[in-house]
Amino acid sequence: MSDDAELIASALRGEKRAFADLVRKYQRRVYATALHITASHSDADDVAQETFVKAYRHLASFDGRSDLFTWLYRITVNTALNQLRGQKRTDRLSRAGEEAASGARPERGGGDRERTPGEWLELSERFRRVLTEIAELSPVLRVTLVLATVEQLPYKQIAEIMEVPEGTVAWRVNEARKQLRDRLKETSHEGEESL
Amino acid sequence: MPPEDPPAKPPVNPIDRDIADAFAALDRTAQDRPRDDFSARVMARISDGADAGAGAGAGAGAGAGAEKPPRPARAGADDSGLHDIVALASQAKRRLSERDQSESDAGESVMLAAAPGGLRAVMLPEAGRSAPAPAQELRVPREPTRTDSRSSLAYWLLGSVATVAAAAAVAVFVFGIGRHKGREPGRELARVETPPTGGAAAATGGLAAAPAAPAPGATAAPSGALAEADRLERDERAGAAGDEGASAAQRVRPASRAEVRQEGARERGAEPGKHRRDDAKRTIGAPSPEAARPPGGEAEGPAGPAPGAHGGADPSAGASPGATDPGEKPAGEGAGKSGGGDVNLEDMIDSVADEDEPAPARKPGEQPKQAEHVGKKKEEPAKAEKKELDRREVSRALEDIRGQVQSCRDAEQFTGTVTVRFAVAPSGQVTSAAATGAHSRSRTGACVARAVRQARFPAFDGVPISFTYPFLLSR
Repeated sequence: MSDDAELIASALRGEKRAFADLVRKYQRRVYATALHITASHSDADDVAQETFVKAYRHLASFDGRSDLFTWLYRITVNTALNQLRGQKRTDRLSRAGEEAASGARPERGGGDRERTPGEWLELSERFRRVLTEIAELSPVLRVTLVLATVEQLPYKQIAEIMEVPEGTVAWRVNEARKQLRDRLKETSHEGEESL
Repeated sequence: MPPEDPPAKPPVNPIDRDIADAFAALDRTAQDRPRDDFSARVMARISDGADAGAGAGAGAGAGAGAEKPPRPARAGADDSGLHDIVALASQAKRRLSERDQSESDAGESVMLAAAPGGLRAVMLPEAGRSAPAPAQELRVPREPTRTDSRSSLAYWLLGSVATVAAAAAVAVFVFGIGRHKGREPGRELARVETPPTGGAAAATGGLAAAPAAPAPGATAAPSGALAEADRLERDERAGAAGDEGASAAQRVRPASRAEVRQEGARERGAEPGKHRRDDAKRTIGAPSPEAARPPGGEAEGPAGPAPGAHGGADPSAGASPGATDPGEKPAGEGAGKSGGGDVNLEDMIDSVADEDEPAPARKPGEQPKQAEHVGKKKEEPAKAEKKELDRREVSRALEDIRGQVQSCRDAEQFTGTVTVRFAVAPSGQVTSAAATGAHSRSRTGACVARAVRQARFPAFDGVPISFTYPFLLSR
């Protein structure tokens, strides 16, 4: 944190190299968060870039009371939400499915090497369904769910990021889980019927 | 620099485990992507003029210069540049409408259309047409466009041409009166038989001459035959242009030229167009004896396919009412006066401007095709009725496929709502249909979409319309 404070102070003095260090330090986490929310590498890249540019522009407004990454989280979430709201839902769905399917491929040197191609196919389909159904959720529910279940942030921090009460965060997470469970059951039922 | 990954905790909720697995798979796809240049790209953007200075957006005291506008580059973001495009389009549209109101310069419109703003305004689809329509949402009326302005210009030009033509006709008539003063009626008729020359006939696309052969049952030409024949000529022009015949009132035949003039003077300001329209209906088919023989009892005019013969299906039947019924006004008055003259001008303009009804430049003896024109006229209202698709028609069309949709429900043993998005072409045919939402890939969704493709809507004018319609499949 003290490192961050020094880097921020240097950046505010006009040392761009200091801000570049901050970018390198947080870029993976920011990118990962953006990817979890947008489910698209290209969108995540855009969101991450935009996040750092906004952070640089508004660096003076960071008062240091909260963690820098919480502040970056907030910018990332808001930027990603804007991105999601500006997209057609069908685009989001198709992208989520593509990314998930490619992510379920066998990992080189990983522990999943024993899986058969059929198992990989099944796994890929399951991931695709989960990500597609998450993409069907409203952007706010989706982001809250991702922050809670994927980023595993405590409700308090999520409430701080999204600027809502903790109770609202809890309700959104439960509602998102419920909707997702229902949707997955439905698609699972349809999948069985189609076989 | 190593990433600061948050501590991984095992998900408690089963659904959370699925989510975590799926996102872990997603994360694996990120590992292969080189992001070495990410910070360089960010810093390049920051170093760019638009983002110079840390804390520039935080206001005073931030230690960096004034706030600058964000770069309009990213689609979907707040500062995506979409607003700029919309603003440009709005500006262009506003300029376009202002110019339409002034109807000033045609050249300017070309320049405006070629300008970037104008191009956007032309290319951007109008609201309610291309935007995804909600369920059963119908088209909004189109705003006036530049085409309307061009149309106005065309009307103005045609009006000018017609005015010149009418003036020329008046001059020819006055000259003819002077030449034929004191001549016998029979000779006057002979003059009328001569095809008119000059710009009047050519410009109006009017008739060449009154046919010479007397109509069956026609009596000798009266002394006012010249005026009547001239008026017939004008009526024929206007009638041929507007599919209208001579009015019943105009069939009242004056006995002499003086009477013709008096009657014409009396009738100034009258609206012959209405009468001609009424008469046009009568001219379809064979002419009635009453129409062929005016109350004066004097048959007049030339026989055969007379200039005013609009509906004579059988040329041998003789003169049509329009041919045998001269008007009350002396020749030249209709075009030269403000009352009926305006109507004639409008008729002529209409005739030229109306693509469906071009003013025919008939040759002497050529059979007029008025009945066909009238037939077209009668078809037009039916076409106009199908301007837009209303809710009832949409509902009716979808009601027709209810059985097929229910069969989808029965086949798939599914109850619930399937939302289908489909597009209807102006022909009434469904051009595309696809289930959306949770059923976008299900067999039930595909089945309902297939059923929707079978729907047939009434034809309408305009561009294809998109609908999103929820089908409730319930027992």
